[in-house]
Amino acid sequence: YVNNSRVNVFYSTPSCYLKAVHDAGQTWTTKQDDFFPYASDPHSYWTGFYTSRPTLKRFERLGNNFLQVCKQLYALTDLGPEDWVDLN
Amino acid sequence: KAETCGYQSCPQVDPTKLNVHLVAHTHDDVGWLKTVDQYYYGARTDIQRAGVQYILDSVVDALKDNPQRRFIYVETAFFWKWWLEQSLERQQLVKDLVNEGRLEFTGGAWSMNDEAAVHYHSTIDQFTWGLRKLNDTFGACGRPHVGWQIDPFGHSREMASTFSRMGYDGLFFARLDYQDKAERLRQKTTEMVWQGSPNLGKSSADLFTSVLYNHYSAPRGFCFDVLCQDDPFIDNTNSADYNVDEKVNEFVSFVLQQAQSYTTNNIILTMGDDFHYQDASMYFKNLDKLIKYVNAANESL
Repeated sequence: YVNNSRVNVFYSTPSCYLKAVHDAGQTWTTKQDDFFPYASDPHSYWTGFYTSRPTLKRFERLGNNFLQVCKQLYALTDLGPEDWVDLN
Repeated sequence: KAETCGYQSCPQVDPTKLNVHLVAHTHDDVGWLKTVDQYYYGARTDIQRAGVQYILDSVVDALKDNPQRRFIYVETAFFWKWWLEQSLERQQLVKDLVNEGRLEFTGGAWSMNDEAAVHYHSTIDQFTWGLRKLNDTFGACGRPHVGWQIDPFGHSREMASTFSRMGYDGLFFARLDYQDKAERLRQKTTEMVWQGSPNLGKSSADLFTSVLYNHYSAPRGFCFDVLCQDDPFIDNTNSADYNVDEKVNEFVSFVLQQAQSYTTNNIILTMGDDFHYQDASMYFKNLDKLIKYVNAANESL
């Protein structure tokens, strides 16, 4: 982008890069949709994993359901930190 | 001690130059070819040479050696396993590094979650769990400001909305459709404001989003990890293998190429890869020299 070829290299982080870009005060294009499907080349569409290992996928959803039930019962019983040891 | 983390700790950019932000990072899958514990302890090297405990040990030493150095860490599941094994002295050192912005958490969830097969409820739970550990341990300086979804295979709009509503200021990722990427590089639309929700109020689910240039890897020739084969900087002019001029030219030509696809005079370079930095000094020693020699060469221009 820059017309000169003078380069300034330094250690940074993604948030510091974000700050520098923000400070540049530009306006950006917008996006409303998603980034699916992902294809890494013309014959590699990464859509198989939407359904791979269906049993494991189901177990996770069910596990999430159980976790919410546990959290709600935990809240209802008004247990404090002193009771944590009994739950282990 | 005053906190100088986050945006307060950022390096000065030079508005007259192309600013190259080197981001030292390690991509640590929370289970993949090996189990979480095999990855953490570095077992089963016949499957993959990867041990996260060595990464965190050596990164902390390398950061201690030079206050200019920065490192980001992403997966709190691994970080937490490691943290619980550290002495009080070591924990205090890490707190100092975090408070000074030298070690920064990015992403910060328990893991870098998938965006296709997840339920948003589980995504929020695993973010809450990771962020709570960071908050309880480090306070405000442990709070990540940007999302770091460098490896998920595609990205959902709901994830953008979630990041925005969790207070993140931006998102970086590597994997998008190859045709989309080619077109964005050509049109310089590699960075955008992603409007995460059609339902939430105006701009309340907006998220600055940046597409990384070179996947999430270091430029060819500049991978200094123990897992890589690139040559180090050989800066003794009496050595027959002296290569500084050649490497500086190679690097400058790479960054100028990348800068053509971005619109500000800042670019981000991901200096790391899968389970890199098991021997952090090897990587950082060469990055120190890269910074020194590239800047020296460009001051004379």
